[in-house]
Amino acid sequence: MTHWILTFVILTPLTASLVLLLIPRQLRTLVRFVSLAGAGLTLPAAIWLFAAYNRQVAGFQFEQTLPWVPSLGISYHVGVDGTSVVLILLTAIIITGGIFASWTQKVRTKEFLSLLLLLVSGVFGVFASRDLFFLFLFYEIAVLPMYLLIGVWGTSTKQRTKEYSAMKLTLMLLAGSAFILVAILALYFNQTPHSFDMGAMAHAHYGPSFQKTIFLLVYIGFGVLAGIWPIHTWSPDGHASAPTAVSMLHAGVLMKLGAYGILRIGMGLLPDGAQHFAFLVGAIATINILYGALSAMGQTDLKYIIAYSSVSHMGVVMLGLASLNPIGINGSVMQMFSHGIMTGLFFACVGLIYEKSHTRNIPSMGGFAKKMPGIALLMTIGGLASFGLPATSGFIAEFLCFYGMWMRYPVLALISVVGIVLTAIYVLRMIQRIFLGQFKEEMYPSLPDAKTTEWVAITGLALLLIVVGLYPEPLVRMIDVSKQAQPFVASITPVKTPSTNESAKITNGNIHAQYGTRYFLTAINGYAMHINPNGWSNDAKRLQ
Amino acid sequence: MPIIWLIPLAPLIGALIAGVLALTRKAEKVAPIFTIAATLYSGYIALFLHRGYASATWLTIGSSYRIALDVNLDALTFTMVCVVTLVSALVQMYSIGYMENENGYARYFAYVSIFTASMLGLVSADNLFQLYVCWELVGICSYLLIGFWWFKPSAANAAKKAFVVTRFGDVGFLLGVLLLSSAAGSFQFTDIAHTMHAISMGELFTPLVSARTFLWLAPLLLFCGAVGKSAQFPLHIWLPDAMEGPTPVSALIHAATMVAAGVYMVTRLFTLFAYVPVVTETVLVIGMITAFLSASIAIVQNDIKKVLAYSTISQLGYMMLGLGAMGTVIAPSVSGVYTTGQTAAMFHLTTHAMFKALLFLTAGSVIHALHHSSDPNDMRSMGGLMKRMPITAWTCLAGVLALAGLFPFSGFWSKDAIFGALREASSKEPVAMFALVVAIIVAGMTAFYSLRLWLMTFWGEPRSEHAEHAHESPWVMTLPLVILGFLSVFLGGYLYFGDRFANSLTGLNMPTEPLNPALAGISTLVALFGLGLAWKLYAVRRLEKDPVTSLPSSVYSFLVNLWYMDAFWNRFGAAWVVALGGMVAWFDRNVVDRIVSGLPAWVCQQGGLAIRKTESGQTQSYAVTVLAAVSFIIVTLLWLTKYLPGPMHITMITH
Amino acid sequence: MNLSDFLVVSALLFMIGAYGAFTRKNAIAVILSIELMLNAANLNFLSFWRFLHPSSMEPQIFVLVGITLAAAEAAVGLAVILNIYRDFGTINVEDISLLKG
Repeated sequence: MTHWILTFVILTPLTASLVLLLIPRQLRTLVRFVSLAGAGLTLPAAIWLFAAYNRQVAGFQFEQTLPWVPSLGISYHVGVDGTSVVLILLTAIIITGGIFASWTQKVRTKEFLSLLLLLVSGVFGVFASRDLFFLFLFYEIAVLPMYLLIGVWGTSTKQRTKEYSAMKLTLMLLAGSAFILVAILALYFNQTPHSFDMGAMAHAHYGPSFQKTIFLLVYIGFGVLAGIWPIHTWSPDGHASAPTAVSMLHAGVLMKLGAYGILRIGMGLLPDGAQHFAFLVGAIATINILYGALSAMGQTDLKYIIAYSSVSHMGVVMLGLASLNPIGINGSVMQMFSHGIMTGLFFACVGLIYEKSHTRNIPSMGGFAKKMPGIALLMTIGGLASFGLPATSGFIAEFLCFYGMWMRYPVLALISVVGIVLTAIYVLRMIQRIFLGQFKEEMYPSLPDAKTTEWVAITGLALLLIVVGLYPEPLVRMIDVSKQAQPFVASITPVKTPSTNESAKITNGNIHAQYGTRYFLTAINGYAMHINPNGWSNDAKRLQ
Repeated sequence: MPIIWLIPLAPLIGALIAGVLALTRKAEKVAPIFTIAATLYSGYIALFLHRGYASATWLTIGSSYRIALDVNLDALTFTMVCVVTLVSALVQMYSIGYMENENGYARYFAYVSIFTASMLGLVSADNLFQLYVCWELVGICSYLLIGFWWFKPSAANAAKKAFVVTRFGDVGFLLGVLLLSSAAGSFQFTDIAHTMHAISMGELFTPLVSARTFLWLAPLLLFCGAVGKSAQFPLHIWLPDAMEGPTPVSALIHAATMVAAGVYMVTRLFTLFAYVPVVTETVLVIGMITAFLSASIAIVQNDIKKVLAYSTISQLGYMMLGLGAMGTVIAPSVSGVYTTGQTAAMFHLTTHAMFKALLFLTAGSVIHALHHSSDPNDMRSMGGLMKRMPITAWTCLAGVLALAGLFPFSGFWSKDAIFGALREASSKEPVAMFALVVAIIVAGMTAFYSLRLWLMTFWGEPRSEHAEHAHESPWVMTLPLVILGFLSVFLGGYLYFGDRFANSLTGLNMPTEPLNPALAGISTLVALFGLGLAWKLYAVRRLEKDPVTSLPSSVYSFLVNLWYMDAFWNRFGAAWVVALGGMVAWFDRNVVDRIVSGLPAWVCQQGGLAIRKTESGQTQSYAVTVLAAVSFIIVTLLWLTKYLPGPMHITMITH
Repeated sequence: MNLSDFLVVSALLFMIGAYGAFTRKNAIAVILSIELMLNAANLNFLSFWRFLHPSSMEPQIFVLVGITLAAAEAAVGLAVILNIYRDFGTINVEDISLLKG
């Protein structure tokens, strides 16, 4: 059975992108509405996917296969599982918001929107592809327009010119692509019959040492885009120079491509390699979390703060992945979603603040809440999600990531949890220095709040953060990797393993002898415990 | 849906309504009606149901991992729900008058109502997850309310400080949650209590650490959260700054309820604390240090709210003392141990909520009356308000005497219960004996500074123009004062007689140890001494200069500088973290970036420079290179055919 | 006379051509040397045909085509050299370098 829905999602922005080229640039309104259609049509499609995906069956659904070069084992094969659906939904939301956010874009609007839509269809393609050839193709489509988008429409910062940032970003990502290409070819050639189909590769039994090498290649290659330390340095410069919609899309969605690649190829196809390097991945993720947060603290440019916060949050994503258990990976995908929305909101707000105040230099701000209470409120919501406040989507995502990691490498979880304080510090400092305190009336004679289309973008994103935070069940149920029987997912091993090692036992008598009779243990010495092998029985309910 | 869910949800609905009203900016004045009604409704349901339990699954992953939200209305929760809803409703009523002319009127009530909902969610939690969630939510409500006047830089700073400092404690709390719940495979309190017991019996392996370490590490990690939230030493520094918020907020959040969440949490999870002595001893020592330190600072404060803030910290220290003392075990069970120390701490929490909320509200009433003054909080410019605001003055006196622990005011009974627990413990534990002595000294200090506060504010002659023209507050503000004043006087005694409080908390009907007359006598004498000293210094003569300034200058400056704790944290906490951030940012820019993007760039550049020489434009040299390369390839291939088996060899020969 | 003699001559011819092409500075001399190399190749071709596959005709066709191409190449080459001479005023190949290396 052939489903066209995914092809529709991939081709809609692409078509709009091409149609835009045919429209005269004077028809600015038409240009905007065509691009809104190109982006916006994917949103109902993504929501439909989300609703129609059969959670009971799980696995890959809505598959479509068209042979492309059969002799080389290349076929256009798309299909989605829960993770992909969530990420496609995220992409559709962010691009729609991004179009709204760039509604007032004036320079070469047509070309800008056309490239943006081209990029997005690449992103959709990556999330939907089941064929590595097409995955790589879409990946490059998603990465390359970024060069022009930043180089032409960006803004230079004090430290870096936009051309420098654009070039750095593109070169580093392309270097990563080289690693990915080698890995894909290695995967391709090391199975018979040669095929780029991931489904086929999942059944190819790659040897352990092969897996380790190739996993490293995949990890580094996609890791560049995922912003893993120390190859994250393109990200602050790139995000800071990029125009609003591009930053939104880039930090919100593109960085997820990296993590998605590691999850899908690195862990999905190379489970042994993933197991072998889990600690490394986790350790680097921990560095990311703390390092990104500390770096964010040391910035004075608003966009750099957000950019470094992305580095930190992608660390949480990678931390969850490295746990290799369902809780952590669910958390990780949740974090991808949550961070996508949150950082989209951040960059949209920052774009608005910059547009209206013409500065991104934090020390010269203050008291903006007086003039832009709406933006202040929404950006605060983003900030709360950023440091994982309950009732925002960031909380459950981070909690699950930490929890998953705790079950695998408690030490790393222990260190990385410090990140929640550091994040709170820089987020609250940022909010305080922008919005709170005395407003300098003479420096900013006019500082309007957001306008209609801008409201649509940021309010929608903020509401989503809260709704998902209050009730994450549908999303988590969707993602739930434990149902997908992924080879890399270790089941949640109950820690409740009765001790078989006699020497590890400490007896009640021991503690008794050591701590004397006053303590509670002895007070309940005669208390009868019923240990139920399936969990603790509730018969010892509290005394009321 | 069982009606019990409305206990936390009703204020949330109230908050939503108030939030909508705040957004529309219309009919802001009706917001409190909804929020107060919602709060009272929560309290009513609790009183009506008395006990109950409901649980709903919030999130499941796979088949085994389940996160639930519960409302567990047991005796302990019942007590807390009563305290929270009562104080919250009264404070909101008071706020109608206090916040009358403020911008963001409805927003204020929305925040307070969200706080009430979160606090009710916290106390009705039956699992660690929900506890942690609500723990954070009350924290953010506190942030929003401290920073309610966000345009004041000091308020914005204080809000941030409060949140960040408590978050430090929360890291420990989160780790404790992870440690315990991963060991238990569940978040439910009962499961965790049983797991802890099984670990102590050697029936379970523990992850990460040995069983012996687990037994002290897990509860102490949880206790970190309590240290942050309940403003215990060394994380107490945020609470005095939190006084930047509106005064009713201080009364509700920073005196009566949220700061008591730490005490509540330790009480609720006391079964986990009771395995290893070092845990309870830590609680005891921290409580002791906190109680003494902040009481001593309170003596020299001139800001009326700061006195009350330090007093709150000190009283929270008392509650921790009670918990740490343990006393005797009344109701032993794995999942719900009750000790006399616990009941004493909860008892003190309850009475303290009443009289401290009262004191803050009277302070608010005074500040409201003086709000045109440049520093309405400064007690040095008050005085003589007794005649001008009699209701405030008399109710405040009731609160002061309750705080001083004078017989028969509320504070006396609960404070004495804590002393009793300490005395019981002291027979076996020397540190408890020491703590008892410290606690009694602190009682004297408390009596001194509380009467000092009252005398400086209400007694004598007005010391400023504004105090001269002060007026009593409107009835919406004084009515809560009267109600709380009544409770401050009588609640303690009422709950003490017939062991009402202890029995309702433990669910057992057995007489607790009666009041120890000697101990009660000593504490009363000490309190009287403190009161008398304050009377002598502040009431007898006309106040020209604050007598506490004539303390030895080294002692005075030590106290005025808050034991240098704030300075310490600023220098070694805040400054270092910010400096570290700057360093990492510099390192990223100048080291990591130089290496990661600079090094490949340099290699490419140098390589290019080197290879560039070959592009001379001399066609003939190109041709030589081509010839050499082709020759090399041919020779290599020929050589390879000699050694390599297989297809390549054959290829070379057949063609 | 056997195959190897022809091959030796052809190789010598090729090496002389190559030496000339690589070392002479005069562009016309370079072209002449290249012609030598082409002819060496032609000679090789013919000798292999004569000794190994005398019955087939294709090699002769190849060689004829080759000679034609060589003539065309010489014509184009000379035209290029003529133009170079107009632009640079020299046909010394060392002086005709726009790449600075």
